Amino acid sequence: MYTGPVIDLDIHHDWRSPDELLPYLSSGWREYVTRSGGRQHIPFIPSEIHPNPGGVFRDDAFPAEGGAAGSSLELMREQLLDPYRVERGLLTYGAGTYVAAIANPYFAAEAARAANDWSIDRWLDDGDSRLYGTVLVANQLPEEGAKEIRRAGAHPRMAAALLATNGIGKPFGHPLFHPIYEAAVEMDLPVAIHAAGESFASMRVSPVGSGVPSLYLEHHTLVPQGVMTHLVSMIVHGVFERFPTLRVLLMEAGVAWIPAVLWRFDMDYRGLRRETPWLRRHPSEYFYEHVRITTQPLELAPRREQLIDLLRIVEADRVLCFSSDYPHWDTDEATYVARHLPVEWHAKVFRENALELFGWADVRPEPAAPQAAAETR
Amino acid sequence: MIEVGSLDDFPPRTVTVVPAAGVEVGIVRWDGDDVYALRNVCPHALGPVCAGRLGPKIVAPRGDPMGLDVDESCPVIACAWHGWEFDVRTGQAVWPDGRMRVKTYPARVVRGRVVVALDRTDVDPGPAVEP
Repeated sequence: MYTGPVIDLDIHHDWRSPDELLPYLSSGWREYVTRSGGRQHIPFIPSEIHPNPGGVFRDDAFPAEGGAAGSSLELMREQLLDPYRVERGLLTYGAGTYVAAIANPYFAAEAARAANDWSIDRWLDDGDSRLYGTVLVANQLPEEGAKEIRRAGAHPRMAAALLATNGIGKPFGHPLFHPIYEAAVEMDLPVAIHAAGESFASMRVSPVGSGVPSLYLEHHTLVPQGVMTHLVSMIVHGVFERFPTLRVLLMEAGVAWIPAVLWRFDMDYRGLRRETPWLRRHPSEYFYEHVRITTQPLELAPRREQLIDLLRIVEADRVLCFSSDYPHWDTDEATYVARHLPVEWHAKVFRENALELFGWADVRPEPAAPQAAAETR
Repeated sequence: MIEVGSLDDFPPRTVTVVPAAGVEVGIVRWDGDDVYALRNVCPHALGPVCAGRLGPKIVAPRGDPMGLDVDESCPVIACAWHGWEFDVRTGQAVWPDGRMRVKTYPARVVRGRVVVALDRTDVDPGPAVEP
């Protein structure tokens, strides 16, 4: 069992109520949100299409004093940071994660700015030194998002730029998003892409391919689809050729799909190279060099060995980074993940891969990326 | 050396499959007297590679999606079945670090006739599919 320090790359911190953000809004936007003191404020984040019938949070994660799950630093310490030896934790917002689902792009930019300042004040400067922030990016207006990365990302404990929802209806490889990557590279921040970004009615798109699911179980089973789309898009559009130092963290999409997508991607590339002559390597090679992926929710294979065999194929020990997804209903606690992964992977998955990704410490460089799919039938 | 036809039988920038000593060989005439011969078997799925499209290699000189160009010096055959591309001159796959190759045979024009060396002592002895 792993007994060392843990780096948790997906902790959803939240405001007790959206009113906590009001002091961080400009006077004009505060007036807009509060409707001149009206009874109903403008909601910061639109409603998700599919309600989880059991709720999206652990039942024990709601603070006794009231407020949203994830809004109490004390409870987070008690339930996560202290018992699991969390050395560093990456904060990824609660409702705020999906700021790019706000239909009004100007309000979204303001909400993101306010949320970032709130996060810095409440959780970084006055919070816990183990916690690191992500710059929430309202990517409906990519140039504005880039400005925000440069502004909020200057805080010494802001560790990544956070994308979730695609705010302009295109996967993240599209050149319209490139100013965001330019800013992230300039600030030396990885870009974290969180799953489930298109799960909002305001998006007017299906969160999965082939149509809008009816039930939460459909939706949640297929959540990795969106992340696959962004990953493939970024590689195809040559994002990593244009930004060779860009690092990406895929979050909350599970892990078992990686081999299937990379194998197909490499295979199709050979027949379609003429469409993407700017790529200088196989798609999977860009993945291994630039992308890391959080573990949660770790798929539950019928037999533990089956998942390990699958992950060993893609050298998961060096691409996976632990995440708990606290305080969500499908959280993975560190001991659970440790039981399901080989002991020899633990130090890397629970700590070293994250240290390397974020440049938090010097770690021994890993061997070269595995060869692209063997050139056989 | 096996004679497979007159140079005029092979118009510029075409690929023509001819039988030669029991082997299907694709004769590619590129520009001028540049002729190449490939075995009509794709190393990927054993499809008829020479029944595919022939053209110059598409390149991205700027390294990004803007301003695509072609390398006229590099004739590429795209397999008829899956579109996997191979450099006609060498048989090598054109994707980065491609080690797979279509088997090629020496070919040249002799007094207006296209001849191909199918003799085992002349052809490249390497395997069609490398590990």
